[in-house]
Amino acid sequence: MNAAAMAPSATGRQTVEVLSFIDPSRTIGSIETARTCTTMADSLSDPATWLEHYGDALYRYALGRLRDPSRAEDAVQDALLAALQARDSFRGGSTEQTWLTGILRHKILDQLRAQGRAAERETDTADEDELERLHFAGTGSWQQPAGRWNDPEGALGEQQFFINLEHCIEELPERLGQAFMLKEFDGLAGAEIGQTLGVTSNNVWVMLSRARMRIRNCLEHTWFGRATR
Amino acid sequence: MMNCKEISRLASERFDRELGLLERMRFRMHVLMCHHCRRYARQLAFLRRAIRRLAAARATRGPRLSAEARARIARRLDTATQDPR
Ligand SMILES: [Zn+2]
Repeated sequence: MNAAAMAPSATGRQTVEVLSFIDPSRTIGSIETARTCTTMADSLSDPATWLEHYGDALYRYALGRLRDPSRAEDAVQDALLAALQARDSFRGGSTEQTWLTGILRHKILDQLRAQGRAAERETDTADEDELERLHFAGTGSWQQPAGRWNDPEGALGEQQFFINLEHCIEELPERLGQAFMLKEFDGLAGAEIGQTLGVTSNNVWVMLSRARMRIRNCLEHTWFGRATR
Repeated sequence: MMNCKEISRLASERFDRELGLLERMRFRMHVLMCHHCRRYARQLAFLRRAIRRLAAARATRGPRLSAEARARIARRLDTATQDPR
């Protein structure tokens, strides 16, 4: 092991890029962080340090998409092993984290595609959705309309609200949750999500609508319900 | 005339695809008159903003690899590193 190749770890705050899921070399924003894990690299640091530096970030990325802790752990391991194999092809110019996340992304999309082929598709877009049936009468008009929310702007300032929101996303049925994550966290277009999950764009839009309806309903019960009733 | 269920669908789809001119007109007309759909559409728009913030925050904090998983992966990587390719 070449210890001299270890990334210098600066202290203090620095900016971390929020990666585009479509093209990991593109960033869709950046955030300030106190972590010290990103360094623009011409060469890679010691692979032995990858897990320490990027393990949690890669795990979160995988967990958001795969929604299963043990599968997410496996994906991180697979990605790091693949990165180890491919480390000679690293060209620099991007951060190590960007490069590793790109490899992880490929692993995850492969998994989701395989799963999409195996899944029972009709259940995603069946004409009847239980929550839609609860909200709407047969004529398509509201029978149980959305409730009034008290101070949604204030909720955005509370950390507990975001924890609630994460729980609501986690409670989505698996494939609705995957579609939702690919759309809202990775910015994939309907056609790309459809390809990944093995459904048409039109079905993706239906799935996204149902996912949002569920999250809205969940927030109403777990958060806004407290204030309004 | 589109019913409320169809309008609720558009309230979501407008975030995912460009609505046609006719769809946009119908949507606007409907939410002008129907306060249930207006509220629903407003809440979905709020949800989207909240999700944006969550996505930004999640990049740096949230669940972490468990110690066991970390150790397991480290062992596996260690084996692979020592393998002369
Ligand atoms: Zn309506």
